[in-house]
Amino acid sequence: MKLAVNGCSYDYEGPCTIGALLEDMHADSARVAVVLNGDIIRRQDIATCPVKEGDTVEVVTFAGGG
Amino acid sequence: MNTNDTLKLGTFEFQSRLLLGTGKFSDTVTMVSAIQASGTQLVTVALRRFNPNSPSDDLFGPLSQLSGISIMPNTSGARDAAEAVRAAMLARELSGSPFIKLEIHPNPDHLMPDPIETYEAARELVKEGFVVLPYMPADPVLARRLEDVGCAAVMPLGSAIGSGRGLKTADLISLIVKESNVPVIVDAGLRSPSEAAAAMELGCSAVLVNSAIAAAEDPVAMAKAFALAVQAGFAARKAGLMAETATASATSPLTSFLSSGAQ
Repeated sequence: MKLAVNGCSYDYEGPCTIGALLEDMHADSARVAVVLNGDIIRRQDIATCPVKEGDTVEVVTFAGGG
Repeated sequence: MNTNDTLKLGTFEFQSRLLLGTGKFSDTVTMVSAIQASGTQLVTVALRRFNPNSPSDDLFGPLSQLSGISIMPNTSGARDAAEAVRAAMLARELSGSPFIKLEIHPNPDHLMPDPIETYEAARELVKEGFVVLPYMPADPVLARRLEDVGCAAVMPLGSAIGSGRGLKTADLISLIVKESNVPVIVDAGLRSPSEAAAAMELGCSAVLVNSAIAAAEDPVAMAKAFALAVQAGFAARKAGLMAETATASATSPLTSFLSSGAQ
């Protein structure tokens, strides 16, 4: 399926959950927060939250900042 | 003015009065060493899109090695109140930290904080249960308004972010200190430890430093220097500075025994 992940087109063929998508992106689910179609996904729901064709996903983490 | 021995932010207490930003460090090893050298207990971090090609962006690993350090995410990048609130919610989901450094600066050319959007966002974030520390212009009226809506501290700028122009707003910060019942933390613009000491002598409760340490030739040594300066400035404020006078006031007795006619 085609997703928009962090502003870029992302072809994804794995299991249809955010947890599996993060694995595909090599992102540690404990170290990122996820916004799906504008909604913040609660930490405990990340593993099982479903994704579908055309979804917009933002995956964020902490970086240096003042 | 806060002369207690601990810095109180909401219900949280800190021994250190130096807050550290984590931006601009050349590498994470230097950043971690500087954090340790500074003795800080509260460090700021920014939210960024996850980038699998740049794992060094991820601060979770390095920061989790440090004990006794609380994380305060910032809302950098937010251009209005709605974006800032959204960033704060996301940061809390990510970190679990109750602290949020609220910063809304819509113009990247000067990074001056938007007072109206900051006020609106502060009100909302306090309602959401955050311990809100707003970065703000050095404006006593706004400081009072932000205190009134429940901010845990106010953080007036010394000068523009990252500029190293120092404590240009000293007179206004003095006014804010005089009128505030919450900690006043100078955030942004400091370049040298003496400026941090000066801020503390004005009665500030803490300073937040990033560029001055991260961009120093030796960031770890500079972190230690800032820690000492903050301690010295705070101790000086507690000790009570002497009154200024417009004219000289002799420190030695001006007896006339050296004059030509003396017996």
